[in-house]
Amino acid sequence: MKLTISGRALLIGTVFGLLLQACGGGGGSDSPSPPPPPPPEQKYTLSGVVRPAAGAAIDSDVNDPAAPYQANDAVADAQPIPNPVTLGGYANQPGSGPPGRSRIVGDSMDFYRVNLLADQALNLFIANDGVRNDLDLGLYDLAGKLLDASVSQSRVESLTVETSGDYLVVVQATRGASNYVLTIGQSLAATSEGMRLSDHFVLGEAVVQFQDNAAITTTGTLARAHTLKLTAQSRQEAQERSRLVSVNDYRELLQSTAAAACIPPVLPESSIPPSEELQVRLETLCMVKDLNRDNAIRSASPNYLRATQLVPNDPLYSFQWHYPQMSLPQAWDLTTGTDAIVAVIDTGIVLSHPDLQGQLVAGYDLIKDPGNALDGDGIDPDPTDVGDRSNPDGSGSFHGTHVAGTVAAATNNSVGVAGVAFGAKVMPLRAVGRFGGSLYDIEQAVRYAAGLSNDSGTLPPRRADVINLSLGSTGSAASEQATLDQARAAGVIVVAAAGNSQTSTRFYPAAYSGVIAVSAVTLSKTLASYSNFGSWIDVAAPGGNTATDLNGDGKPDGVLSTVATDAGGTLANDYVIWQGTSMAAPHVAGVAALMKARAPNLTPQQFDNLLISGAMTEDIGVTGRDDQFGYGLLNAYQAVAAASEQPVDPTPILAVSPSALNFGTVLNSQTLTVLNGGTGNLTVNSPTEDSGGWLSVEPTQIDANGLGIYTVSVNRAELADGVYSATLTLASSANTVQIKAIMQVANDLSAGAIGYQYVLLTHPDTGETVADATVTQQTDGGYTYTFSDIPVGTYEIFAGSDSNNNFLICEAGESCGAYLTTDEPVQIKVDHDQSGLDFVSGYTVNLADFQSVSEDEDGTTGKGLSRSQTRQVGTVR
Amino acid sequence: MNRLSLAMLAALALQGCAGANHAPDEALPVEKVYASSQCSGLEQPETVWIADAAAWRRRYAQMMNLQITPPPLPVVDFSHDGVLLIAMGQQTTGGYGLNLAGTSATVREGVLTVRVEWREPLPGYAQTQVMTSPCLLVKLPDRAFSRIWIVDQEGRVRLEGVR
Repeated sequence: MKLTISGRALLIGTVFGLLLQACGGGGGSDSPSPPPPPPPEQKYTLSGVVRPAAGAAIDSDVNDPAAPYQANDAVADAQPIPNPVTLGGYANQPGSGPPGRSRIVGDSMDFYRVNLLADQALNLFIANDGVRNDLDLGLYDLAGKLLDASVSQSRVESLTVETSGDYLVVVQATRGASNYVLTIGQSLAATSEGMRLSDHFVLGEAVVQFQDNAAITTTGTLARAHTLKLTAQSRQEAQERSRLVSVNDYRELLQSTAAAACIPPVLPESSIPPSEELQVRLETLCMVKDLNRDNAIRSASPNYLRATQLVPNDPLYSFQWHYPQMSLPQAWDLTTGTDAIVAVIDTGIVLSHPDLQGQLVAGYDLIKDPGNALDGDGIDPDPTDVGDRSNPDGSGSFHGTHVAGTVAAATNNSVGVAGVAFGAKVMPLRAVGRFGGSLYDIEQAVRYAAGLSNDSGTLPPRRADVINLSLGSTGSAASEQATLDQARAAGVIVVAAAGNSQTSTRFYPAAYSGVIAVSAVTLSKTLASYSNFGSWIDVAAPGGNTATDLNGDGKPDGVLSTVATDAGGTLANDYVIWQGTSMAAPHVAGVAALMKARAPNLTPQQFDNLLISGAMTEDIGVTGRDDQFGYGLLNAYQAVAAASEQPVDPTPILAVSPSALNFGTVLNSQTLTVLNGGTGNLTVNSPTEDSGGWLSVEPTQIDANGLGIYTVSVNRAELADGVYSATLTLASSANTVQIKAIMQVANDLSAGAIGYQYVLLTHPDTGETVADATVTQQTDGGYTYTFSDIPVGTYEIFAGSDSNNNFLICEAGESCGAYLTTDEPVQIKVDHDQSGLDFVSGYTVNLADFQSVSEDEDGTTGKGLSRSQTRQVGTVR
Repeated sequence: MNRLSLAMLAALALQGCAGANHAPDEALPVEKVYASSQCSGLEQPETVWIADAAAWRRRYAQMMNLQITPPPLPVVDFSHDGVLLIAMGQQTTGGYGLNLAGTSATVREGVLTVRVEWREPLPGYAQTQVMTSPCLLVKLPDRAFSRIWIVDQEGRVRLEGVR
């Protein structure tokens, strides 16, 4: 809400009043009979109480001399404040800001003492521009040791609490003067520029760009910069650009031995310095601030270290072009496949590979013929790939290890490569041996994976969610189709390689109904020359072409994954680049696992529906479905996102509102609404909580399933002052929801939590102040007010503090309220005395207000309601 | 060269060398130095004689470039040995195999013959869908041969090459 000022609001009102009085009297004359005097004007009284909003607090030393005063300028005088809280305050450097209590002597630091919980947010909203009037936020322990600080030149500073405990929160006017609002615990999505001690940046460095300037000066910052070879001219470069500046350079540039005013590392009465690293961090940020203030410098910032979760630290990850090609890193933001199982039916697995450790569940060897199995027996529980003797020297190909690595190689473990669904697990099933895979053995492996009866005589503890078949032939059998139908009916998504025969002849099992057939693309998203195609192709994924190195990374453009070699008789683990539709299929199987992790009830039919709708792919080739790429090139991110929104058939979901309960210092009870946010049936158990006694939950209006309204109450009796939190748990036949509740006991509330209130009567149309009320502060923190002698008319009533004493209330950083609500003030028709015109005044933070830069130099924002100047006289304490 | 001209040359050589010592049919010791089903750059079936260290280094580096940790270059003394490269050519699946059969090769009438076990996937089995290019590299003493035959377990000449 912005109220326009009129500097002359009072003057006009006063004149009006005088005129009224003047017109009240009058007398006769000898002219023809004068008109009768108008009847005396009726005047009325309006009164009410202005109450502080819940959770509001005021800086106990503001610039308004009429406000109650209690210095909070030192560690020993730190002002206790509640949590959560919205606190209004004012700070100024000596000589800055409007005249008032602190203009001359200064009020540069406000100390608050508060109990904070881990993960709570501290936000400081600065009413003025933040640069000429620059406020900073510091967090210290009770002894005064610096822990963290936010020192940007923006209008919002913010910090997050790491550990619960008692702290000093300090607001400092580093430059100029400003009103401010400090919020603790409220989850406002405010962010500051990142100039925090706890941010990630290189110590002792700043990234600086100097102003474009053709002329070399002989003195000043720019001349020194030239000497230090930090300007374009000094390096014979055509244009100014970023430079890296060290602390020593900075001292030379600005001719100073220490950074100018910045949040102090050591508080005035404290003797405890912060850690050495913190001191360097603070010096770095203060240096950046100083540099930004110099006119010769166009911009300065810390040398941030950017860490994104999208780049795994696996040393070979940069060679895996096939992952970014399908937008896989973006999908990892949503899920990594936790809890999904992918069965890899193949040559088996090398259990000892370092990049597959922790990525496997128990598997099986379904090869019946020992001559094919080469491991001395037929079906057995050991899926170890003993080598298929497929290499010329009799060594094994270890094909299954390569495929499994693409599905789920351990990722971000500083070893080897990354895998698609590294949060999932691979179930290694051996069905391919020296001769290849017999159709019968493969069928048994599919049955085992799907939890169907099979020739092993056992079932897995948990069936697979996805099956990958990087194998095939042109032969097919009705029994195989039947088994795959059963696996699909059991809920398993089956993925198979389309084959490398460069033909449209159907290749199985990919071409079976209900199986996802995967063709292969190269790095340039063209169909790989070896890849099969045809009306039965469903989707395309990276298979590669090792004859090229189009991205110039020094490696052939195939798919890089885990492998082993046993040339010469010794098993060695390694990584290798291969090409084939064998490589493309596990990309799809891995993405299916990601989708299942995100939407556990996703059925094979729903997967197909999403694929057919185009939601999972990038449409390459001919628009729409085509024989080369099916429904397109798989896009992992789109696929996972689409799966998340997939409505699943009747799935009940426990939904509770609100998602957190904040009782503050005064609320005793709140209602909790418990609903079925999905479909189908849901039963909710009686809620439990862990407060130890001060919190209770009772059903207020619920149905037989426990859905409905509950009342959550808190009892502060006999509790010590402090912040209390508890967790409510609601378990149900579907999911469990936990609600965090926070409550504060604050028996020692400082009076006047919204600051000394001025209550004004205003003209609804013009916003001009018509009258100031007589205001009396109550012991309970409220303010009773009375307007006297108010003429007939229509008015609005506003109240607020004037922390910076510029005779405007309701500015940013000051408390404000209106009858009945600040958002929609009620127009009061005054034609009789009225009392009980009560309303609330408090601090509000409108983020939009703090995202623009205000241009005022003198510490005011120029927005607010003007209050009487004459009020000032005689009230100085 | 065709067989007729070769035979005539051989006859001439024999005539020209009547009485001189020429190499009889010889059994040469042959030893595998490297084998893999993923020999990069060898998409065409071929057999090639590598006679010097520089050519060996080049060939080997090319073949290894799919691997992250290739095994070190096998040492060959080119003053009396050479390396024979035997490449099956690119195949569309796994299941192909190329092994050295026996421990010796023969040189007869200027033709080096090496016996190998040349395996192809059995029909009726499903195969892994990875592109392969199997190769076998063997070291053997350098002799006066000008042609190379690679013969499989059934006596068929699978590859022919010239020096």
